[in-house]
Amino acid sequence: MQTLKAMAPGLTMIIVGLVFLSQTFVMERASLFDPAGGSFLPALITIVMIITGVIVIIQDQVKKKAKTSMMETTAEENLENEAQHADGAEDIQMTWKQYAFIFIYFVLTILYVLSISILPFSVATCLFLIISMIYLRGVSWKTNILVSIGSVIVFYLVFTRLFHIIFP
Amino acid sequence: MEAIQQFLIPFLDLNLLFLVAAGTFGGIILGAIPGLSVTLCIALILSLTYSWELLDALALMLGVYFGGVFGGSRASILINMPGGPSNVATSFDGYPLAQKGEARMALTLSTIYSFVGGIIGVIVLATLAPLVASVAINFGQRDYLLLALLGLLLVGSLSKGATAKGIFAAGAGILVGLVGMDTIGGGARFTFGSLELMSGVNFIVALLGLFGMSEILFQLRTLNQKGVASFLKKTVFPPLRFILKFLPISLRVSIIGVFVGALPGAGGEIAALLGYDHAKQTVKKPNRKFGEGAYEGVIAPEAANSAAIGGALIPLLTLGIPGDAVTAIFIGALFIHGLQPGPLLMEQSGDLFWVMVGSSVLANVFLLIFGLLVVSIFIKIVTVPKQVLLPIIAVITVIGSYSINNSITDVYWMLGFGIIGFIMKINKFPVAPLVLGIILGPLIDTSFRRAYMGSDGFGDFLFGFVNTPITLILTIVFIFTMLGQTNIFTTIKGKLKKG
Amino acid sequence: MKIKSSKTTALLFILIISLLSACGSNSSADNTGNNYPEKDIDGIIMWGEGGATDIIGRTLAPIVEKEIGSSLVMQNRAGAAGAIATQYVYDQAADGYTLLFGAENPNLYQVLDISERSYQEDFVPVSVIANSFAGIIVKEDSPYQTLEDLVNHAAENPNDLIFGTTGEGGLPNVVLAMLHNEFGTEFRTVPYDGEGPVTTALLGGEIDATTVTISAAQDYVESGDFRMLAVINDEEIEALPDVPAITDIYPEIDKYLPWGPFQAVFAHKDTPEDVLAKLTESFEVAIDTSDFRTTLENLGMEYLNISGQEAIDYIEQNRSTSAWMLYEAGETDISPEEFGIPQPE
Repeated sequence: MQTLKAMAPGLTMIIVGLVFLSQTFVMERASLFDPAGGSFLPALITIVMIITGVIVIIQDQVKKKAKTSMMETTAEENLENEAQHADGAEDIQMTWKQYAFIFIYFVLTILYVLSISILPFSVATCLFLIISMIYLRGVSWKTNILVSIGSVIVFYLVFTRLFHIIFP
Repeated sequence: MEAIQQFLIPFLDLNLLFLVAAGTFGGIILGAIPGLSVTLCIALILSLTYSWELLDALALMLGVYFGGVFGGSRASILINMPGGPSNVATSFDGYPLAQKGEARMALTLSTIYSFVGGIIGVIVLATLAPLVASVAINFGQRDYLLLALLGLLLVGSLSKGATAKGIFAAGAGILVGLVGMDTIGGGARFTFGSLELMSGVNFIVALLGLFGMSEILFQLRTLNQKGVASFLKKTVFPPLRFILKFLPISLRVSIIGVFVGALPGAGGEIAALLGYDHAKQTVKKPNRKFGEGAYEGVIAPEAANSAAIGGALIPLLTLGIPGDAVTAIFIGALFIHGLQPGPLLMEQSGDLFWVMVGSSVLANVFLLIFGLLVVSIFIKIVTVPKQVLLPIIAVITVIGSYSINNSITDVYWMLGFGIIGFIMKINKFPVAPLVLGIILGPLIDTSFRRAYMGSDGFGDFLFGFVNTPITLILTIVFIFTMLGQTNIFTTIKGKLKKG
Repeated sequence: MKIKSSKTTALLFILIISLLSACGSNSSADNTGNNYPEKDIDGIIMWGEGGATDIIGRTLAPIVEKEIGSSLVMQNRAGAAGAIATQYVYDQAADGYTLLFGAENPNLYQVLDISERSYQEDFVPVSVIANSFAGIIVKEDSPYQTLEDLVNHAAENPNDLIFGTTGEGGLPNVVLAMLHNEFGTEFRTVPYDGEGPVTTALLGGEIDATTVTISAAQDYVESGDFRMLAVINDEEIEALPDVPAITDIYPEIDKYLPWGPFQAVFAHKDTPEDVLAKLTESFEVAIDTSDFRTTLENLGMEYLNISGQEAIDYIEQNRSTSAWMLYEAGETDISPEEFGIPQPE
């Protein structure tokens, strides 16, 4: 189980590469072996992508081994800190609560996009802004309403009046 | 003498003066809104100014052009959401700078050096236009390929240590860039049978998703942390000596910018990327590492993309060939007003050339004035609480992605890219190489295949890379840059030391 | 509990906003018959900003607006050689509020398997605004002085010369098919993204010859950068009197003519007749204004302004020539017959 989890990023990369590779086989009016054709270059790129996936799996395995062996030899904290630093960016730790919070907001945005087709644009946008600010908390209702209506007016003036962009 | 008189026309004619000023100001504001492209703004002006005098219309359009390309950097720096494709590279260091409380510095420096780049672009336009045009026109498919690959080498530095993941992301980006109808073969690629996908994935939509939407989701994680506003540095205007320090690098990237802008097949976005790359290669001691808030990382792309405007006007005015999408609309404007943009344009209406040069200088002056004046207004954006700012940005990403092609499908694409970008961020996959791939993918694909089609077999194709002087130089530059990026040099050095 | 107390206020504000927006938009008007138009008309341009279709659409719009008494809002929906825009307009209600501004490309969608849509089955022309002519060009330092030189060389030395094209179904593509069918020429082809890039490639010496619309080449011919070997028409063009018509050199081409690029406006097939009549009338007057005719002249386009059956026949002739030429040259495996496209006599 642990191994699988450690391999997840690399495996995902390989799968994505394979999906794209399979699509290069079905391209019309393109020959895979003709460099001037439409599918030669994409196929080449997918192969590179799959190779990077393999590399990442190997790297992750090596790292894991290094970590476990380090723990066995009760390495000093300094060393571990250094190892983490070599990874680049700091590890991003997120709780399930945070994931849920973000996911719900994303769903809210999707609902907003869906509602544009049903409600008039200004109403949908205003509602979205108000609900967003309520959901994210910490904004007084006065600011909420003022900002929402103000933004909608600005959006309306710029996009609809000036640029004649008509929403469905 | 006549040329100087014509050059001064926009400075002395109050009407033109006002139009350039209004255009520049409007451009800065509208350009800063992600999704409202400069191309769209100028197309709109074209239809509004149909019955105007030609010079009035051009003055307004030039103002919007310079202002709009510059305005896009405001959004790159402040909210990590490039206002347009030319401003992608600006976000690499601009946003980290804003995060470190130096938003004001980033905004000020980029304004000053947009002005410098813009002026250099205009100077080259005024003095060397025929020469640059003749080189640009002889730029072959292999040269474009090498240029695009040179840009792609940025992957190494944008991956921040995770090179394999960076290459993967860039590869995926190239493939996304190729989605749609193959302009060469006519077949559909990666469309999964959908007609909507035949037109490809608009890369501004991808930008809005990968930078805008994903950043919103990512920020929600740390909603209750104190905002940047709390440690915003109250730097007054930086001292002149400090500003002048960046003049040499800005001159070099401006030259790159003018030339790339003058190429009919490459525009401001590639100019900015190559400018950034050049700065990264040549600046030995930046104040911070590139990617973490180097001043040069903001200056270089902004100088390059402003210089690219002057460059784009070169083939337009000397040969009647557009250097990018915006100059294509300029050609339309000239046609509508009864001129024939072509090699005879300079002969038949030479006054036009100098008036356009004059208006461009004027636009840059206004850009500097307005740009510095509105820094204090723009800076307010970072003081807005996240709870208010994030929903508004969310709405902008939605409207922006819709308005590019009036398509609701594009909005769903934007949301899709948003969630992909978010997943990549939390799994430490660098997002910037993906965008790089999307921008450069189509150019790599078409130039590679056209070069191959134009040559007689594989051997002839390879020989072409050392055949002409331009191509040979680019090949050598490419090879050296690539070797410099990989660890080969450093490894050899290290081994020698050890051994 | 601040939130709860704010709810009523919020609802109130939403109510006001929705009232305001209801007043602002004209969507409440009902779309019955004679009162057309009662709201803004959308004009969908099938090519991007700056192209000929775009310029024509955007300059014509304000003139038509005056005639028809309603706003004509122009939008670009470029992509897939216009197939995206064509599909979009087809999917809208057939009420005359969405018009398609397009060029000749959809005539080849079916045989090139790009889209199911076609002008004949899915649309009705409001007006064919203008047409233009294609010309075969080489660089001034090219060894080929006449069309015969070029054709003979290409027939005797297959794949020696490079011909720049603008992708499948573009002008050069069809002209190449024409030459191949009649004279057995063989060129290596390199496709570019449009007339601008292909002109640039010729200037840079990347290709040996190409075909573009007269207007795109005229200035270079006058400046001496290009030499136009022939114009694809049955008589010389006023703008370029020195360039021979292709039928003067090869009379057998005559059966394919008239053929060339055109610009037209379309409405959905099921648009009510009175609406269509109103549209046709407004466009006819607008296209006839001297202002617009000057624009056409500047663009190197020939004023056409035909509608009704005449327009349908014109478009059908163009489709039949292009489709059959491509099929006979082996550029496509799909026979035009499958779609009931008659063979040109």
